[in-house]
Amino acid sequence: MVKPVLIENLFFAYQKDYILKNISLSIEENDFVALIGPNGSGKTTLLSLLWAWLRPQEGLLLIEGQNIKSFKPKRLAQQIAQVSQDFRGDLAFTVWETVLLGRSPYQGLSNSLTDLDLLKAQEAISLTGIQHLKDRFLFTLSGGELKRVLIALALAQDTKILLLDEPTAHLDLHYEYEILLLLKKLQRERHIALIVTFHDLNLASLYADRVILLDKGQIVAVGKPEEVIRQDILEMVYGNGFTLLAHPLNGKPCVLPVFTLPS
Amino acid sequence: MLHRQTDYHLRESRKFRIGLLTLIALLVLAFILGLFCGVGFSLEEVGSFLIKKLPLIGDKIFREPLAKNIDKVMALRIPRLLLALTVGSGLAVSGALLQALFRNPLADPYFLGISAGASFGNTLALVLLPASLSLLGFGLASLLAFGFALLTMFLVYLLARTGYRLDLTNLILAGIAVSAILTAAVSVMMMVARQRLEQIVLATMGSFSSATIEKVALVFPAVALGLATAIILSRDLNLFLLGEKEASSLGLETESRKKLILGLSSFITSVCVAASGLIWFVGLIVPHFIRLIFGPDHRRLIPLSALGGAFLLMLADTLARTLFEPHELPLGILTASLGGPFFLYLLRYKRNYPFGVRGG
Repeated sequence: MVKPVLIENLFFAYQKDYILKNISLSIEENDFVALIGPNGSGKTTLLSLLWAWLRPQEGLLLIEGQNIKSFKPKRLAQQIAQVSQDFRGDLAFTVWETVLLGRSPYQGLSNSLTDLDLLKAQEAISLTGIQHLKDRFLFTLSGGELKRVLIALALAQDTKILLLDEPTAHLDLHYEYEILLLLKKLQRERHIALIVTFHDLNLASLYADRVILLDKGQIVAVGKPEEVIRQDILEMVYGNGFTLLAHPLNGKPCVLPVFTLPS
Repeated sequence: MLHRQTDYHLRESRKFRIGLLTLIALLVLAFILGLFCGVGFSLEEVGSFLIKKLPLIGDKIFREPLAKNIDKVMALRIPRLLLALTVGSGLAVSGALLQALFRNPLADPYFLGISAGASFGNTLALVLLPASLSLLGFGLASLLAFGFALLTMFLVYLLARTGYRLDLTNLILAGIAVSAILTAAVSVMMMVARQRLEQIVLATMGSFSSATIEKVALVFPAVALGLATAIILSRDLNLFLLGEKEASSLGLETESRKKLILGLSSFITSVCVAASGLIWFVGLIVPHFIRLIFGPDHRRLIPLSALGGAFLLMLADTLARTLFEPHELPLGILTASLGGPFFLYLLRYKRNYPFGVRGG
């Protein structure tokens, strides 16, 4: 079985200092992997390497068993889609026009859309529950609605791997829940491998199958949520401003900040 | 049926077709108006001329002799209109290309300093060389303007390139710096060659008065080639509107495309500058105007901008030529007085909306 993503001894630096050091990991089919770690630990950089926005200095990066360097951009965009944390694009397209752009990797020089393109775009719209927004302009949408449109755009690419950078950042509890349920649905029904960065450790613990903890560009721990979200492991990375408890509904580890004043 | 285009989408396609036909009709009208306006001939005489000049059948329909000298006057007006058409469409498309690439509503064909480069070339020719030299219908000043415009863009590109990605903000800053230096150099030359000051100032002001059919025969194919390339690139331009990162994750080779778009826009603009000097505002306002009505999709924006720009410049040139006949107004006065107020309106109107929002 070919793994969707396989990384071995990966090193990356923007300039001189390595941002990612000696990263090795593999992602299984139908995997929901959470990338966690403090600010600046290299989560977003790791995602950017996976969709070839950045190129590693050293190491091996295989997508579906093939070296990422040997992919043509369009071919890679048929394997991997990504949703970045903050969208800075133009908001003048409608939802439907935007989602149709997700079919670009399959289009040649001619500008025409095939029935398959329309079908896949419509599927993405239905899956993300934005049918009612189809003719709305992006600038009229709320943050949560926009996020779902951007996920639909990525889904229209019809890939087996989906990368999301902090998909719940700046969203209220309701939208946060909606987005995470959607991701779970994609994993279960579409068998998409999800690699998601989280700032909120509790969400990683509750929704991910596996958690990867990064610190200063290195992998500190990998495993099931209860194997990584542990007091001793987290203290090495985050210091000691928190305490752990079990979630009342499912027993998963949850992080609670502590209140202590300096004496 | 689930997988079909939305009603909205179909409505927009219809609107596009109507817009296309309307602009083509306006273009034909502006052409006829341009032939007719000015001293000398009645509408009837111009009409007879046009019919008689129809290939093959013209002579059979219209047998009377033509008005005296109409051939000579039309031989002046026709190339002039064709050049205005070519340059107008070129500048509008060039502006649309840069506005998409930079996702900046202020971008126009001269955004990165091409105007300063052209002025520099022009002034250099006037100060250093005899004015009588010419090649293929272009004065030496035009040729130097063309050369320096392209050279400036290349220089800006080289200066902005750091690392393996071309940073668009760097490009703007490099453009500003290079422009400033070249403009200073032009000022120095003006100081030195004070006796030719008027000539220097006039040379950079845009005008179609030097249009000849030979010039059109050179400029038209070059701009047409540029427009065809821009139309092929239109879907890529849509992806650029999503932002460079998104475009890249959708499989677009953004680095090579950025260079191609930049090179294409520079080429079209340089050809236009060589043909008719600097004509402001057309490349800025026409794409905005089209975008406001027909939306940001470049598969529509590019062809409609080309038609809109052609229409605007044909009209502006006819006005420039005839308003105070026999004196000719500099074209810049007309495009600026049409464009300036529109642009101010745009600035106020856009405050509440993102770049590229459509109305209607």
